[in-house]
Amino acid sequence: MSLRADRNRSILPVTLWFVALWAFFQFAFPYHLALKERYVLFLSDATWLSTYFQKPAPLSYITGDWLTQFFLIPSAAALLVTALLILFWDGIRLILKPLGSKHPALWALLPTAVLAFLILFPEVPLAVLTGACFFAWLFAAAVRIRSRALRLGTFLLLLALLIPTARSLTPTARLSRISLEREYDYRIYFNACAGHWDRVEKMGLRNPHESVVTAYYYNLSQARADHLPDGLLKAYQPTWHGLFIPVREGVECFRLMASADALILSGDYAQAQHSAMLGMTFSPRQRSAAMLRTMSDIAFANGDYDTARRYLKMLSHTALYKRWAQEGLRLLDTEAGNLTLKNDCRDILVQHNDYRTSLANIAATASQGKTATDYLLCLDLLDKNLGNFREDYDTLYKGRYDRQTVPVLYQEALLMTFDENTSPADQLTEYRIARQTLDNITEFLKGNEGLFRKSYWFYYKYAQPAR
Amino acid sequence: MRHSWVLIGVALLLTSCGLSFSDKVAAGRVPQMFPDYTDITLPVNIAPLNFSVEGADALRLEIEGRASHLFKANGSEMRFPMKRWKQLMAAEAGDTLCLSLSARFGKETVRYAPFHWVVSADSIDHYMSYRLIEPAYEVWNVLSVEERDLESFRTRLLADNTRTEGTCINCHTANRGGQSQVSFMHVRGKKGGTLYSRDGKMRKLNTATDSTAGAAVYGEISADGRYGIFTTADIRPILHSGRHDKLEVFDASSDLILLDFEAGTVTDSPLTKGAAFQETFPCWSADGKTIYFCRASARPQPEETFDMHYDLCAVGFDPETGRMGDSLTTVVNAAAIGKSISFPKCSPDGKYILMTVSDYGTFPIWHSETDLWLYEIATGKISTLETVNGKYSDSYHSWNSDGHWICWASKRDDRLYGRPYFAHVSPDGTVSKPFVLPQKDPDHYLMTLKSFNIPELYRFPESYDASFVRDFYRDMKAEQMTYRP
Repeated sequence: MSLRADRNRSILPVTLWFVALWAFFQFAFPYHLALKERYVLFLSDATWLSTYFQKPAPLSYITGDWLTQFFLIPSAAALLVTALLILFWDGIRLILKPLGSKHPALWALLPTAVLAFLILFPEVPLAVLTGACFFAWLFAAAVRIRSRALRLGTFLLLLALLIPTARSLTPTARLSRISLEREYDYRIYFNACAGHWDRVEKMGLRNPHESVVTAYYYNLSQARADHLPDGLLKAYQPTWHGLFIPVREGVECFRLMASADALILSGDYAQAQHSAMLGMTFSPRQRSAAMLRTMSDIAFANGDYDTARRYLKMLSHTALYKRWAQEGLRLLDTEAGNLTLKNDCRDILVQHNDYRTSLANIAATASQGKTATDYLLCLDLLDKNLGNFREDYDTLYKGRYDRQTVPVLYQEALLMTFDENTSPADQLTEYRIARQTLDNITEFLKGNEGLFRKSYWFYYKYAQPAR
Repeated sequence: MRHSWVLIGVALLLTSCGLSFSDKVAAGRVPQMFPDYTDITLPVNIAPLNFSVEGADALRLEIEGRASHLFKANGSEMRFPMKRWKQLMAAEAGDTLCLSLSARFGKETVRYAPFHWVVSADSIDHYMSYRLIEPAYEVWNVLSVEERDLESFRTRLLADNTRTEGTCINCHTANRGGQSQVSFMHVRGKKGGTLYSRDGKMRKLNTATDSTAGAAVYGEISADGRYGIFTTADIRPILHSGRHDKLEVFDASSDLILLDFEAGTVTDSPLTKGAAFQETFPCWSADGKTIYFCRASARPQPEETFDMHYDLCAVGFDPETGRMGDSLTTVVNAAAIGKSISFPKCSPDGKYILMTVSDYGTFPIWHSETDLWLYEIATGKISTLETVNGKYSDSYHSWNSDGHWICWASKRDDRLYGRPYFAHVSPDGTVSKPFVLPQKDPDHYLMTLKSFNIPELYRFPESYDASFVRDFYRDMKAEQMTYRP
């Protein structure tokens, strides 16, 4: 069959296939692809580039990482991946054609399907695709060599190159699951990173998969707006797991990275730095521009300007964090003496993931301790530990933050902690319990629980431990 | 006419490639070079001290010693040709060099204030090992131990945990001053053990016994390689909530154990075990007849970690019987001055103990106040080495085999990432301004996300590599050491 005839027959299915692939990436799983950007640090610097040549497949990684940094731009990931798949397909088609294949253009679609599936895993680097393109085109050129001996020699050479390259490109990190639930988590994460907190709130209220990560970012959106107790029970809460993401062995890298966000907001910079550092350490290749940025922020908060400068200097060689980094360096050069330290809490020793001790210390000793106090009280409540709640409320909240209206959530919980031996009226006054809350609990106790599904009493009675 | 064109061409070439330094601006300030190699003492056999000047388009370095030397570079990096560098060092050994650096930035040329290099005839040990690890607190993912040839930029992988199921690998340490090189390295994990290397023969040792509290941790090998003195410790990491320090590591318990590698035995002493005190970081004196170590009264931790102050203590040792003495002396009462001592290391000439001093606790690497102090054994005089210590942690040091050089991991540049620094120790105990391990690419330290950890100097190349360590981990059976009461 002539090249023209094959092209005419295959042009429609091939076009449809790649349009479908693009639509699949763009509309079904854009954030699975976008997450790759979190696992990459590409610096336009000769010293940095030279590190690629210490391992096999340097060109694949260089081109792959360079392109991956643009995945931060919406729609870029789907377009770039589809374009690379087209390049790969064309290379395979050119290999198959001289080998006598009847429909090389159609057969060449099969390996693109395999690669399209593989590339969806966030831990699989884009270098897999760029490497596949390089080799497809090198083999395509090799099959056109006329001298049989030379052709065979070139093939063997390419195969010898292909094996270490394939080994190097095989991800060593554990692969995450591909699912719509994950896609929703990644989407809310990127919306939070971009500062689209209104979208985060809406997504959190929906939380169709009852996901811990989605609940976590919903709570973050509420805490940012100083509405954490007000908004807490309006959305799905997987007990206290929606407040903090524990850092422990085997936790996937995405969660490690995400875990820093609530810690930063609550002022727990020590654990936040721990999380960010682990996020980078356990990223597939121990590199992450996003985590460098987070660690720069934390270094600023701690007054670690030498550390911040180091990270900012690296980030000033990136394509998309460059401007941000240069602004940071300018601040360090001109205004380092005037910068406000965000971390001014008392130094104590805390086990990692011991949120209670850490939050109590921040709430008691930091100058900006309101968010930490709310997180601590919500942690007590979601953990159904009313004893801790009352103790923390009395020592950290009462008299400091209850001058205005006490959040309904706290009022509802306080009612459950009242002392039977003390006058109810005095306690109602002392704890500023609203008349409406009192009426509500009366109704609730009468059996009209369905009317109070968003109340703490309902949560306390019915919430099950998180999966 | 033809000659004129050639001359014009040459002139254009010279000006365009940026080597014209005729329009110098006398800046009179110290060069902003990275790394800072101004006013240092360097060993005659060290690799070229390549450096960069940020933003420079061209560099010119004039060196005046017994002879004049001129080095030029296009761009911001001065990379000395190896052959010329060796010739320079050989010609100027024992001399003080005066260096004048000029840098061109666009059309402006800056001539910096001159600085000097003292080329010490005292050679530094040929090799150094260090661990490369992310400064990720108490956990690791990918780590490796490298051997660096200090006379060139060659490195060799001694161990790589991607080949040993991701286990921790640490403490590559050689016997200093011995005639034959003996070293050990701990490889943790299910199939791990202590790699004991002597005269090219490798052994895998299980140093944990039922009668002692776990496997060997920090320690040293005696100069003849027969004995090893180590800590056994239940190590616990914990975070600081404040902004100054990041991580604290404390020992829930710790004792000393003595290994006899020839007899295959582990022994201890009532003086250095038990719950009343915590003992750690043991080392041998130069003559092998004293064991120095750090000791503190046991306290509940982490509640009282801030009050843990480790003194420097000593106990005698009889190499003939392999027994520790029956009395213990406090050499430096650190608690009395509100300090805590870690990592004592005796100089091979027996004159000094170099130690790490911090405000409290037993894991100074993450304490920004940590400094190196030099203790003179004969007089009890302590030098706080103010010109040596940096802004942040200086710790985990090692002596050169002849005692003229020290190296250590310093976080002085950014608080977080350790880099190997060297300094010269004069016979009178004066220590020179430190300089960082030179790299072929001078910007290497700015572009790496790995911390250089546990730098260790030694004379001969290690007799194994990462492939051996992989087989050692996977296939070699460990010799079980036995407890000798």
